[in-house]
Amino acid sequence: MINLVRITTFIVAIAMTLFSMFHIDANQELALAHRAYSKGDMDQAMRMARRANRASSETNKKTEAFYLQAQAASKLNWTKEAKAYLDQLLLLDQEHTQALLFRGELEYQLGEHQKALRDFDAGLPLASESMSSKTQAYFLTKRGLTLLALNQIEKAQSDALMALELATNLPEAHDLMSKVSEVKGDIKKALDECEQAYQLSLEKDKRSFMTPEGRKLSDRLLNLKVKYLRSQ
Amino acid sequence: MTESKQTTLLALSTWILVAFVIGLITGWIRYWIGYYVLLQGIVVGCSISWGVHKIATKQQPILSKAQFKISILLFFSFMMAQAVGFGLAQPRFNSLGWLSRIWEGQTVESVFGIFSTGGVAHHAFAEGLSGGFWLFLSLFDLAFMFFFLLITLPPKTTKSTS
Repeated sequence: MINLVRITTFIVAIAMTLFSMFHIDANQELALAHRAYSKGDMDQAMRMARRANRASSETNKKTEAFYLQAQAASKLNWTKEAKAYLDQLLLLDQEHTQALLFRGELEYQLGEHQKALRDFDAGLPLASESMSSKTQAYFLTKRGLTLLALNQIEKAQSDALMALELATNLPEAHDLMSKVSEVKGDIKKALDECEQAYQLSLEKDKRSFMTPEGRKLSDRLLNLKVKYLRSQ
Repeated sequence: MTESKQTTLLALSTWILVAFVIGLITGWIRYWIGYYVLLQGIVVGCSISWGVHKIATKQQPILSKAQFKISILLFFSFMMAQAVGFGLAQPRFNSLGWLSRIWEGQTVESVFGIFSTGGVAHHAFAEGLSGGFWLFLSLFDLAFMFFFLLITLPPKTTKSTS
């Protein structure tokens, strides 16, 4: 009898240990993933979001987890993986505005300009209902850059103007306008807009010139100054 | 190459494979579920030698003679496989990158084991560890694993009856 008790206790203990190891509470994991993301721990954010994703069968939970996974992967510079997560998300919800625009941005980074344009065109009309004017302006500049890469300069200029109308102080919008002006041969305007973009990004964050984007912007500003002086 | 050497090499390869498979599983569990300090070391050390004993039915003398060398070989095979396991569990194969980020404090590893007992210690470690203390615990666990591997690897000696 005592042996039976021992064996039963042992088996129950093992079962409980295994249950505690493998049982995942999707809601809790998702909350932890959000907390890790806001603390800047992208690895844990992605790990917990993936755990939540596997444990959940609800569409809204899965889309939330996929979006978080994509955000964390993007911050780790894992662009392809981030895009793959958004592909999975958009299979579940084809009208997820944030996902469409974010995927467009990633596709632009990956050089898939046609695909990026398709996603921006699908996402931007939906964004007017659900996003702030600053966010809309930000994604308009991204579409403008894509159009510029596709050599559709007039449309890119139109996006730059719309973005500036929505958010006058957005550095990205001035940067786009500068690029459009440079392509059009108006170096003076390109330089002015680039200077404004640089000043605005410094106002936003004093250390922005240390970031890769900030460095690119300051290099561009320098190049434009040289170009302008040579043209005089 | 003589037949006995060939047999020994084949046996050695299968032992390494055992350590490798256990390492892969451990790496995957460690990333996905968490790190059970000490428990992992004990379970892994004993599992590898159990697996080797199951296979090495005819090579018992080799295990006795070269116990230390074989333990080191299996230990490093396990370590490599564990790193591969970390990589396979992640969306991108980046195990060394992940370990370096833990060491630099950019991320944490979920650690359980003796800290899951409750109270203040549990809350302090529930969110994971990084940096020097994480490295110390990892090395401590590896030392345990190596110790258990070393003491359980030699075949059992039968007691002589006087």
